[in-house]
Amino acid sequence: MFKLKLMMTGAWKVFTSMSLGLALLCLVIVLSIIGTFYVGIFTSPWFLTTSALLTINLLACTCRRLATLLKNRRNFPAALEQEGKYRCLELANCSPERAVKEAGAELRRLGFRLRVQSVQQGTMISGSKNGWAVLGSPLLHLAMVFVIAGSVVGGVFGQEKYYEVAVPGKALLSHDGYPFDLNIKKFHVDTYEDGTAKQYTSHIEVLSANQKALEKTVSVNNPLQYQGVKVYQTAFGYHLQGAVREENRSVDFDVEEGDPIFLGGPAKLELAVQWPRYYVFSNGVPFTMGIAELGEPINILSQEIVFTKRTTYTGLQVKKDPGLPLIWAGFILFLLALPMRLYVRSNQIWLLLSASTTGTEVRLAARHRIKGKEQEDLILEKLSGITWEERALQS
Amino acid sequence: MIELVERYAFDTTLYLYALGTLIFLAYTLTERKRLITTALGVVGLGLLVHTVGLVERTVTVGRLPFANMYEFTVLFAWGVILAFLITQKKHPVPLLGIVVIPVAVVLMSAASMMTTTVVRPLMPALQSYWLQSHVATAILAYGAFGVSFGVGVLYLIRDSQPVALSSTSDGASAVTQGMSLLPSSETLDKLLYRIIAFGFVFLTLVLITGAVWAEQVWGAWWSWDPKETWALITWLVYALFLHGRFTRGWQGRRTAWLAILGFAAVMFTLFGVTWLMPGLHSYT
Repeated sequence: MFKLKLMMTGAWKVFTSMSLGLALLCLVIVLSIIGTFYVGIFTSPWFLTTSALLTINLLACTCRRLATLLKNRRNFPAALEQEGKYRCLELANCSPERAVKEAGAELRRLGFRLRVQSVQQGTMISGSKNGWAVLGSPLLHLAMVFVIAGSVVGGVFGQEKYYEVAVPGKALLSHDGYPFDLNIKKFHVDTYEDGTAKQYTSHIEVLSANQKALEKTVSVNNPLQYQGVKVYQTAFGYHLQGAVREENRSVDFDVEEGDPIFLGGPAKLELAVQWPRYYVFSNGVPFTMGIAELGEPINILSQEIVFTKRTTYTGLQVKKDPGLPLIWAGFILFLLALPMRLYVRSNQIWLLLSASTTGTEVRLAARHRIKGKEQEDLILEKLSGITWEERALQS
Repeated sequence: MIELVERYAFDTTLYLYALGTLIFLAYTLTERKRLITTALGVVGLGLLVHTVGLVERTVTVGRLPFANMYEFTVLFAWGVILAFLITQKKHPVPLLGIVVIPVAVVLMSAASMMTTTVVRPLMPALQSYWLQSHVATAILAYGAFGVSFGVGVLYLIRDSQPVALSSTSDGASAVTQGMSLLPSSETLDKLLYRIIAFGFVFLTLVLITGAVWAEQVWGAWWSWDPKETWALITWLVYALFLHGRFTRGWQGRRTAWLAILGFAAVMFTLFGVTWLMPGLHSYT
């Protein structure tokens, strides 16, 4: 039992270790590089397992960090007990009370928030500045977990489907489990002078139980949102309907404009339309071309082609993504915590003042990457000033 | 007429940057400090003309020049020079110019060879305010990474110098004392961290603005599009740099190489992906 517990502890340590985290991070980088050549990798067990492990590692690392932070806040700082970690000063002829007062005032002047405690060895003053900034790193990692969790929630509970709807016409979304249907009343394309599309817009009625609930125009970059479902304008195009006739045979077609229509025959003819122009290829080589008109038959060799209808369709992407709030929360958290982690330095200083035979012994330790030493110097200077004053008074 | 002004501005910028590089090179040979001021002046003037060119284009096109490869490459060079001059003002490392300004020269030359200088109207997907924030943050991030690449290279050079040559304690003053042309490795190492931290914040913003925008236009905040994926790879490389530094105490050659690797990822995201891997970001 003990052995098992030991093993578990070991496994937990490895699992929550930073080294494993960095190794997994490298692995994700490598897999992502492969993924840009072979997209399937992102849904493969390799990638999913690595991401899952990284997420667990991230969470575990963060929890451990938080636990250490809390422990450090509550416990007596180890730095004040280990030889070499703290600096020491003997204040002769100075009572601990006086030293506490002076040191406190100086720390306050330096902008520290103070907490004075009686401990076994005497009095401990802990000062902290920007103490909240230590949360930067855990929050940052939590933000990452939010984003990952959001994408999992979206993947598992989300729903999306692409609809091509002839205009005017209805899209029966309720058949696919969405809470409403759409009635597309109008669609139009704005173009630039050179004929390229500037913007395309669908005028949509939202039908809830066959009752009009809402009316809105949807365009690219301007989706519709209703009851947690979003409708995006993503494409448009044209459908061509007509028939190919040959002697006493007639075959109807309904194709997307731009897609080839196979006419077959010994010449292997293929018809492509860019309304109103049409092009005919034989074995991939241009054969003939012309201008098509609705209802006007086109004769090519022994075949007759007639276009009967050309309809515009609007391409709408309908999506429900319950993971989005988590993603947005993650992003916001990221933006708050990142500058906190990189640009705000939390700062802690501890003073232990205990009575000695001649006066007061001061132990001093600080934690700050850049300014720690500087502040220690300031405090020490101030406190040694007291001794000088005392000496001057006495003499 | 107005296109001609833009053309002249472009060429002048390129020549001024090239001239700046040459003067910096002359400084390494002669070690005359006045050359640094001259070189910085020339590069500063280059940035000014560069800005004029960009403003000119904005006026001609009637929108910010944020929409195709040519425009972004020119902006990228602008960002690199801006980041270089700011770095130079805060932490003078004159030799940085020798590595960083050629990056801008190469970018500008590459831009001059692009055939998409022709102004085309903005396609519907790009008509969003997110375009501005997405590209603006990218310029700042990429500019910073361009400079961090320079610092990384300088670090490796500094580190490989014989000890006798690198026996200066304070980096900035070492230059003025004429003892060594490069500051100490510690100074370079700190500078590398500061620049990458800045770039990382902005790269995070690039990814976030991109995701929010993609959600609005395509209904998918993340699609594993090659450009997105490579931007993420770049982000992860720099995240590795920061983690290694914070928790593992990585410093020195390892982080310098990571900075170079990160910039390689930046360049690949911009050029490699655009030309080799078609995707949603194909706005060439």
